[in-house]
Amino acid sequence: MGLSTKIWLVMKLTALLLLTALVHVSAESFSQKVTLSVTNKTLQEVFPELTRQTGVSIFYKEAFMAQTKPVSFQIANASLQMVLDICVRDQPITYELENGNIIIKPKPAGAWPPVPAPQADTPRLTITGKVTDAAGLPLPGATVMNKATGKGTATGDEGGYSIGADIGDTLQFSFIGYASRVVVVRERLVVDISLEAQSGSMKDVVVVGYGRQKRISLIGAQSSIKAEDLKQPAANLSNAIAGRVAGIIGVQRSGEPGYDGSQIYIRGISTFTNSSPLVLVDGIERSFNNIDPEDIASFTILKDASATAVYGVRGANGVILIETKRGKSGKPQVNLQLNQGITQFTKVPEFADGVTYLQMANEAYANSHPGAQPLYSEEKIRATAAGTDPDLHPNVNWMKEMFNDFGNNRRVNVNANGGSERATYYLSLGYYNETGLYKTDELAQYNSSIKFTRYNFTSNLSLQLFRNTRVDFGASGWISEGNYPGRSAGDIWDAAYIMPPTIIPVKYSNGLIPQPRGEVSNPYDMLTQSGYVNNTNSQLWSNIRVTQDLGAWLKGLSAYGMFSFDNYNYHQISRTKTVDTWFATHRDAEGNLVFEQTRVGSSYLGYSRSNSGSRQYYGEAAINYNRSFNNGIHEVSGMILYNQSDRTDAFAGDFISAIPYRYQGIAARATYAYNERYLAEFNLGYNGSETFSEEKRFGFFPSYGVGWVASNERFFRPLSNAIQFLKFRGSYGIVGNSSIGGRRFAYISTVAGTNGYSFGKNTDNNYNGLDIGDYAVDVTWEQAKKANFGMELRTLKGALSLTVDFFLESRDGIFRQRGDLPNYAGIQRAPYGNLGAIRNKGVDGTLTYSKQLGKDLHLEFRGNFVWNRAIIKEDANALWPYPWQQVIGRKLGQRFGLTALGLFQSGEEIANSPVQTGDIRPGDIKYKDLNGDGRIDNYDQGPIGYGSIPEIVYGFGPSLTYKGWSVGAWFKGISNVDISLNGEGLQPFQKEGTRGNLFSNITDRWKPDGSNPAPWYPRLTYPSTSNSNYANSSWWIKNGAFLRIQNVELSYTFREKRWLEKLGISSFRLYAVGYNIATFSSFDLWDVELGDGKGAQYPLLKTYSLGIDCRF
Amino acid sequence: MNKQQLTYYIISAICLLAALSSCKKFLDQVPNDRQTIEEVFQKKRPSEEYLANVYNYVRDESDQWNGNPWTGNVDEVNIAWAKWTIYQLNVGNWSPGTSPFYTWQSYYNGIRSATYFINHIDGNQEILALDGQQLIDQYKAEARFLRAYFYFMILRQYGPVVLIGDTELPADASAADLQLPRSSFDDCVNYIVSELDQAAVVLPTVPASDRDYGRATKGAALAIKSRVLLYAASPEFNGNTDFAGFRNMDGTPFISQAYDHEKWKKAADAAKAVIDLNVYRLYEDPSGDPVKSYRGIHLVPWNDECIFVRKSNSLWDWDYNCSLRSAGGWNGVSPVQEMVDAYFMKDGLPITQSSLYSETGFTNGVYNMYVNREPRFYASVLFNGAKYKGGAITQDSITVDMTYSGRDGKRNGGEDYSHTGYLVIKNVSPETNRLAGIRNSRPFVLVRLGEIYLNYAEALAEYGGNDAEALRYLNLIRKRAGIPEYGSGELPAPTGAELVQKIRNERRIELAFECHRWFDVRRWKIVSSVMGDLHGMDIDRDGNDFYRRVVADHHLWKEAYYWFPLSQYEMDRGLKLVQNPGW
Repeated sequence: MGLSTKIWLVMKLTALLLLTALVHVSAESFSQKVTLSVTNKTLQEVFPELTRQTGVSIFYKEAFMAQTKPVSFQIANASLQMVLDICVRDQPITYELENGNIIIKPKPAGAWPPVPAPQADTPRLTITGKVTDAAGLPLPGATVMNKATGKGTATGDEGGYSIGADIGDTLQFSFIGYASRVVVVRERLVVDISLEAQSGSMKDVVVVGYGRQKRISLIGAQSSIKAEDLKQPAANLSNAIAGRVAGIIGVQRSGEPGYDGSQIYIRGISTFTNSSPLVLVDGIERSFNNIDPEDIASFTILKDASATAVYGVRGANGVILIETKRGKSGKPQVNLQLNQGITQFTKVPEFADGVTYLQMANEAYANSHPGAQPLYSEEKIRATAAGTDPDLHPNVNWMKEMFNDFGNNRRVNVNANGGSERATYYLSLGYYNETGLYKTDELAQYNSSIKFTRYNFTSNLSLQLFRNTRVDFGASGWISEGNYPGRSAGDIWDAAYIMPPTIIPVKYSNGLIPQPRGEVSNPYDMLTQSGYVNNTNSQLWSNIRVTQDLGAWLKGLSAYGMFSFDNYNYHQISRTKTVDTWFATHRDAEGNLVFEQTRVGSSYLGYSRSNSGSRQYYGEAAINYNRSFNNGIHEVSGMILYNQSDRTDAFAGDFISAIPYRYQGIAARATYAYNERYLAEFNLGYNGSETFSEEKRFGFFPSYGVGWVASNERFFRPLSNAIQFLKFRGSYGIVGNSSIGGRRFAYISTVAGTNGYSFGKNTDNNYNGLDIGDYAVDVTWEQAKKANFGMELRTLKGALSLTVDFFLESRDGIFRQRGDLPNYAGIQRAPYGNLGAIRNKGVDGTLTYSKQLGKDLHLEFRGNFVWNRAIIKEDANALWPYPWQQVIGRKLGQRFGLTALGLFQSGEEIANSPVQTGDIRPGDIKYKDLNGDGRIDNYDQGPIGYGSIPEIVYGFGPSLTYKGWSVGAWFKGISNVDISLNGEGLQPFQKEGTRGNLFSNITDRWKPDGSNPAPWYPRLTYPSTSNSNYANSSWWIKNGAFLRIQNVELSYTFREKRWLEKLGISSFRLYAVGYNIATFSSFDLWDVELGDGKGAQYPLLKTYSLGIDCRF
Repeated sequence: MNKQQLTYYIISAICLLAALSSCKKFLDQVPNDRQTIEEVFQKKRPSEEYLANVYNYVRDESDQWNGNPWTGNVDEVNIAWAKWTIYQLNVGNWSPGTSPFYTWQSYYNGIRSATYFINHIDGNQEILALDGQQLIDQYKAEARFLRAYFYFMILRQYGPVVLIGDTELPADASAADLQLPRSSFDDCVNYIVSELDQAAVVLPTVPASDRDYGRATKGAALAIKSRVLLYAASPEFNGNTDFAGFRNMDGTPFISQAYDHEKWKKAADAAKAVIDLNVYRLYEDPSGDPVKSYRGIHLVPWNDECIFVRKSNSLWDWDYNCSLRSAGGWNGVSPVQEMVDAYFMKDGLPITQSSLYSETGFTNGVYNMYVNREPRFYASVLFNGAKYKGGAITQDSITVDMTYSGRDGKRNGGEDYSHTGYLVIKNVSPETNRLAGIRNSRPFVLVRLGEIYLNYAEALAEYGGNDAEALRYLNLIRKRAGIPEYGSGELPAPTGAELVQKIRNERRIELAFECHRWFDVRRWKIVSSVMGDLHGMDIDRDGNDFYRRVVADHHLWKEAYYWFPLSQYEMDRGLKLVQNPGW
């Protein structure tokens, strides 16, 4: 059957399920059931709500109500009568039912003040139920206490209990490591309770691939971020992750609103192909960049094979699991957050002023052309310095002209959750707005400012449809609007780097837009006169899941089915234009400027549009088995799951990419734990990817893991004072990567469109070109064999906990185009093969110190760290001629270049040194002749520096809480990384003529008089390409390590204040956050995180913001 | 049915659904009726598109700064911009590791595609039905011509090539099975010539219809053959003992070590064969104005002098780069003084011999150096004080001022200024106007009859025995150029070595900026004497100080530069390849 038919069926079933649920609910409301939770409300406030829910009117006289007290209660599905009983209990009133209405009357004399009812010796009711953890696993040994009678009991093997109680009694459920829960007995005799583990405790239930598991029994290497840590004043969630969690290597390369996502790799890069991790939001492959952090309940990264094998061909690069928040039963809780920040660039490159520029140009020119007359006359320099004629002798600081000092960002989120035992909800609405720092022109009739606005919505509903059936429905998504100048940030920045300060003013004094001849562009023109681009993104996510407890068939058995539909749309409208531009060549005899028109503009806004979008169907069905035997000594679980996904590119550009992207697979897991001491786990993915031929399409990805909780051993007890918890775990497994990038369906050959040709004398006889595209190859996924050894330790009375994981990965069969084909074979696209091999190793760890110092003071310190190094074992290329040129055996991303030995000091030294190309004189960089052939060329390029992707990423931060006050900071750093400098704007006078700005550190150059022995720049030449000073060399490799104060936060929380209660607010927090406020690095030309090149990117932002967080 | 049961049914249904779709068909979704390369060769239009793809490897040589080095790396022009690759070549910043202007790969791609076409076009059902075997044969011959042309293009730039043969190398062969050596220069020439001969037999003399102009013809094949054989007979390749050490791994020399005089005969015969086709004529403007005639060769599309052209090209970009800034151009393709000096005077004598030549004084505001020169000078070079109209200068012509502070001088030029005080106007269309976005479109002339005449004259003069015939063709060129013929008036008829020298001089002028000089100075083995310091006017001066020869450019020369190096990439993979001498 076709996919669409299947989807129809699923949709129909979904509708049926929902309908059933609705009918069910309405039947109950007909019988006037009430669900209500009130705190300290007067009866006058409560009664209207009762009327609203039941349709029954309640009549009373104000006089009767004068002496009544406010009431507090929480009930679900109670009869109206019961609620009224609660309302009038201990009150001087009573009620009667007359003609379908309720009449409130004073209590008969004598009945007030009330006489306490004699306490019954034996409760009249027996309450039974089951206590489970959040994953639904039974909790044997949990305590159930009736607070009214003071009697208690413990749960049995299956978490079952039975206890006597009266209506109105309070039952308390508690278990070590879990948060206690309190339930007031109503008319329901069966009370099932699930307890949530205290965060961080070993009983904590954590999210794992396709399920949940108890933290103590976890074998896979995974770590998670506290949801609060994700709430940073940055639009893009990916920026809040690096340095927050052990195992993520991440860098942010741009701060442009809407395009500021970080590159994220789990445990570094260990392949030549796609190395992005698989991201699953609520179990479905989705991008997480635009999720409102407020909506995230858990954020987990899965690192080793044990954790990711179930994802098979998609799991090799690690997995990020995100779950959105769900409702909790209870009275509605409303949470409002407002955050207003001002933004600034972390660092704007500083350029030399006009006079310095001219002087340096003259010096460079004189260095290159000794004896020639100066490039710029003294008169020109004087005029530039004086600034008397900015039209002809401008002196422009382009950075200052283009950017405002401040931008702002604003975040609002309001969410509500609550519900009854049978239905819970979480609803959230988020708003994010960021205004960039570009200047606009007041005269333009349109808005070209850079602006990004996003609306998020999330709704998660859970219905306990029947006792054993639960339905979860989620619908969420976001809409974003971005507004940008008509030219891209890259173009504008580039122009600012290329336009020297002395060529043109920002605008001529008569208002004309300047633009010199040639290829140099006026950045201000590009920024403010180029029109605007507006784009809209919308993302809709929907998913429904039906979970059925099959305990009736086999204890511990359950099953679920899930279906999701996601739709993404992107729409961009460009209204760009060009204006007339002019160049003032000189002044005429009267002193008027003489202009030359350098561009004939279109003057009106043009129009162009681009669209993209995709839709995705995903289905998953699974059977779970969870059971513990023999009083929890043996714990067994099993899972088998089927899933398939289908994503279609709605605006595919060609035949092949229009074919849906599909995955299909089965995942299975079996775990066993003996007495929480010995743990074993087996995971299996059986997966298929469309990319490969039928014979090579499906594969098994098994993983094995064992664990030992040493601290639970009898012999460990003497040590338990020193070490409270100690666990070792090891895993090994195989995971795959079928995302080869650029080559779908590798098993078929393709025909490619190429450049064509034209014939015809008086007519045009044009042909497109056709040729063989890719050759069919018999390939399969790349395979990652991963081993992980981990240790978890808790000591200092539980205050200090440490997790360390060592990992080894052996990635083989990496997709790689053959690199051993000689060009004379004429093969245009080298065939792919499973050819590359990389070995990755490293360590990551997390340390937490958490200590209550006295009653009100709490101190916490957290830190994490990851180091990895990936070595290329095979890259499918022919060997290079010399050993120092080899890529094999070196780290992935290794830079190669010449080794700079310093600067030449004399002509004699040059004469006695290996030959370098170009015009070499004292002050030029001297390179090392690695192959000793007497000349410096490509063969002398050896490994230099580290590379652009850091090997080390770390983060740490203390936080201190005193009563309502809380202060915390977070530091993030990267290390073993460097920056390779190159590009126009960095290399002074790279291209001859008036192109290229100079950084303000240009004065730190080699001087002809030898007065600067250790300069930043070698001898300036004009052009700088006339010698080899700017060859790719170690001279231009700078240390890219940094430590950033990513976050400083001060907050005060108001709790239990009368004035708050009057406003209906239960807690109110006021906070101030500084984000990215300081960066420590030896590199200071631009924000060091932007990385290689010349820094011509939209810088990262620092933000100072104030916010409130209010719970109702 | 109670609720519980209902739920079970639903769950089961979902599971069942999942199970149903688990059939392997889910991932098997590439349609069988997509276009395959086999399909391409069953149809006419797709096959023609495949052939068009082969044609596309015929290089458009309009880009002489970043794409082709043939005029900017010899004593013809200076390219103003240090940003382009040509600059690196001239300062000597190139090596097998950088291998700039790397055409080796693209031509070999073309060779492979041509071979594939030849081997698969037979039996094309649609063409057979519509046009018959004849068209298939013609297309095969075109592909064969192109393949030979590509080999020659590699040969002239890199020296001896790797001959692949009639079957393409399999893409899935192991690296060891792909190893082939370079062939000797003469073997390459023989192969190319035999292929061109094969193609020439089939190719039509004139295109079948208006729509087929631009396709390879018999004349194109024979013309390329003429050039190949002329090169092969030249000193660089004919018994050149300078290359005695340049040998293949088995010890055989790449360049013949014994001079073979008969090679000149073959070259002469090949040129004559083109002439004898009698379909090409030297272009002459109806007005008889030699300047217009000479400019018309390139600016009048499809004129009868053209033997092989590339219709789609970027000559507009050449126009942009050559044109004056005042005309909206970029002012940066500048003939060097050596080139300017090479042009004859209008009396047909070189400046060193003509009484008309003077380097002092001005005539009507024009420096005397530029007065009384031959028409081809005025058709090719824009000099200071000349009148110019074209591009954005659409109304009155302007007087060119490239002195330091002049309208098109260095001072206001940014990076766009002539480094020599001259600009190329040959093959620069005055209709192209960058500011207005107008691009004159015309075929790029790759081979023309003028060259064949000069090939013929040179080969014949070198061979000896018929100097009169050689002189006849040399004089045909001079006649069209509008200068006195040798043997008329004051000009004696040269013979022997002197005739060869006159032919070379003529060739330098006639074929200037047409991508010949780079190869000619090598095959004549005079390259070391024409590289090095090149001169121009003093563009750093105003007024009359401008008219002073100064060093404007330096084109570095090393013996290794006879050929481009094979790239290190190729050397690392082609283990039987021998690198060119000096690299």
